[in-house]
Amino acid sequence: MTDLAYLGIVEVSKLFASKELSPVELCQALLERIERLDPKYHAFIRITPDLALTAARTAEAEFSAGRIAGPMQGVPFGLKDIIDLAGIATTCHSKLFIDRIAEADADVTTRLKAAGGVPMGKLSTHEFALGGPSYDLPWPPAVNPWGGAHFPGGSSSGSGVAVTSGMLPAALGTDTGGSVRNPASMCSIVGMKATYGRVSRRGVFPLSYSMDHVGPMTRNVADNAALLQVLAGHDADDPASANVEVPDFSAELDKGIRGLKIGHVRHFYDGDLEAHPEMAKAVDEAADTLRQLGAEVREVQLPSLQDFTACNRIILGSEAYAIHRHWLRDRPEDYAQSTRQRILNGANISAADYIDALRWRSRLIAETDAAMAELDCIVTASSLDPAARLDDTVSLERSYPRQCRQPFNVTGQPAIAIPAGFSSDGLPLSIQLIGHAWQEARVYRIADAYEQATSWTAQHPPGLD
Amino acid sequence: MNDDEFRRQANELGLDRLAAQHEADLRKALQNGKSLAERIPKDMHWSDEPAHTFSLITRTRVKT
Repeated sequence: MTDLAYLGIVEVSKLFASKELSPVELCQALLERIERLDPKYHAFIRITPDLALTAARTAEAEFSAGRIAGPMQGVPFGLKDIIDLAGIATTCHSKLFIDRIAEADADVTTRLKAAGGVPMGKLSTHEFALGGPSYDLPWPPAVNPWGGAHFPGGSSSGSGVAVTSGMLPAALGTDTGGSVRNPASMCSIVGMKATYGRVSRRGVFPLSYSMDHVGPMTRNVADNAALLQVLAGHDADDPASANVEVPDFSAELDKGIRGLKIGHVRHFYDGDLEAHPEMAKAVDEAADTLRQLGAEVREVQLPSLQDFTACNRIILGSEAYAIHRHWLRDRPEDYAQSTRQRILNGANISAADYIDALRWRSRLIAETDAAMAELDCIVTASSLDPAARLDDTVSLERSYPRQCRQPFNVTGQPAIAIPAGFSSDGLPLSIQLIGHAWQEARVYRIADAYEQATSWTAQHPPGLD
Repeated sequence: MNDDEFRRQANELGLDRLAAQHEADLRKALQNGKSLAERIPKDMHWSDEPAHTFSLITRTRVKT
C-alpha cells in the first residue's frame, strides 16, 4: 500500500499509460488509506467516494480506448473547502456555511475534471481561510503527521496533511497571506503560489480580492509544475484573471542552474525578525547548495518584512471585513473566536488608510522589482519556526505571524515553498524561492535543481503504515 | 477607550449585537487596526497611484 500511497502525479501518469496500474485501483487504495488515517489527522471535511470512483472508471475507460488527456488523467485530487465542487457543500470550515451547496464547479475544478482528475473530497481549512486552528467549529483542525500532535500550517491545512500523508498525490490550496506555502513548509511538501492572475479564483470563496491566489500542493516539484499546467489559463469570468500566454511550466526542469543569478534575502529572517536557529541554518545551507550547483548567489535587500506585513494586513483586513461585516453583525457567535478576531481587525481601517495601503503596495512592488532587476530569483525563509504543538497555544500564537510569505502576496510574484530538511525534533524545515511575475518555469527550474541535490521531498512521515 | 466611547464606535461600525465576550475581540481589533495604519509611510506623494488588480499584467505587457 505504501508504494501506491506515495506515487506522484508524473509517476502515476506513466503507470496508467503503460497499464501497470489502473485509476480505479489507485482510487480504491487511497480511499482505504483515507478511511484509515483521516480519523486521526482530520484532513477531510468531506470525502466523495462516489464521485471519485465514477471519475476513476471514466479515466480507466479513456486509457483503455487509448485516449490520454494529460498527466492528471485518473489522478486523485482534493480541494480546500473554500473551492466549489458542484453539488457538494463548500463549508469554508464554518458553521455559517454548513449547508451551502455549490451550484457549479470553480474554474479550477472544471479544469481538473476536464483533465481527467479524480475528485476525492473537500479538505479542511482555517475558517474562511483566515482563522487559526480552532476547536469551536463543526470540524476539528487538521493534525500534522510530522510529529503527530503539531500544527500542519494553514490555512490550507487539510491539503498539506492529505498530501504529505499519502492520502492524495495532489491538492489545491489558496494563498492570501501565505496559506499554500505555510502548510507546504510545515508538512514537508511543495506548494506554489503562482503569479496573481495566473489561476482563476472564480468559484473560490474570497478572503481578499486583490491578494487571493489558488495554488497547487504536491510532494515534488515536477508534480507541482504538471498540476499548475492544468490550473493556469485565462478566465474571462474572473476580473483578475490575466489574458497572458501559458508557457510549459516543466520546460526548464532538469536544466540545472549554472549561471543563474539568485538573490539571498537574509534580513527577513536575520534582522527584521530572528528565525529559529535550525530554520535559519537550513536557509543559509540552501543558499550554499544553490551556489554549489553553479548559481551566482548574492545577498540582496528588500523593503522590511514588517512593512510588507503591515501593507498585507491592512489590505487583507479591509477586504475581508467588507466581505464578512454583515455576518459579523448578525451572527458573530457563529464564527470561531480566532476568525472573528482576525476579521474584526479590518473593522476600523478607514477608506483613506486602505487606499494609502494600496499606494504603499505600488511602492513596495517597485522597490522589489528594482532589487530583483538583475536576478532570476530570490531565496529566503518561508516559516521562521518549525511547527508548534497544537496544544501549545502560546507557541502557536507566537509562531503564526512569524513568516516571510506575505511580501509576495503584496507583490503578486510567483513564490514556492519547498522542503529543506528537518529539525533536531524531526519537524520539517523549508525555504522559499520567488521569481519575476509570469516566470514560474524559472522558479520550478531552481526548485527542481535544489530538490534533486537534496532529496528532502523523498521523505515521508514515519509511522503511518 | 472608555466603555461609552467603545460602544459608540461599535454602533457606528454596525456591530451592535456583539456579546460581552465578542467585545474583547473588537477592542483588540481596533487597537490592531490603529497600529497597522501607523506604519503607512507619511511621505507618499499625491501622484503615487494605488496598486490595481491589473498592475502586473500591465507591467508585463510593457516589458514584452
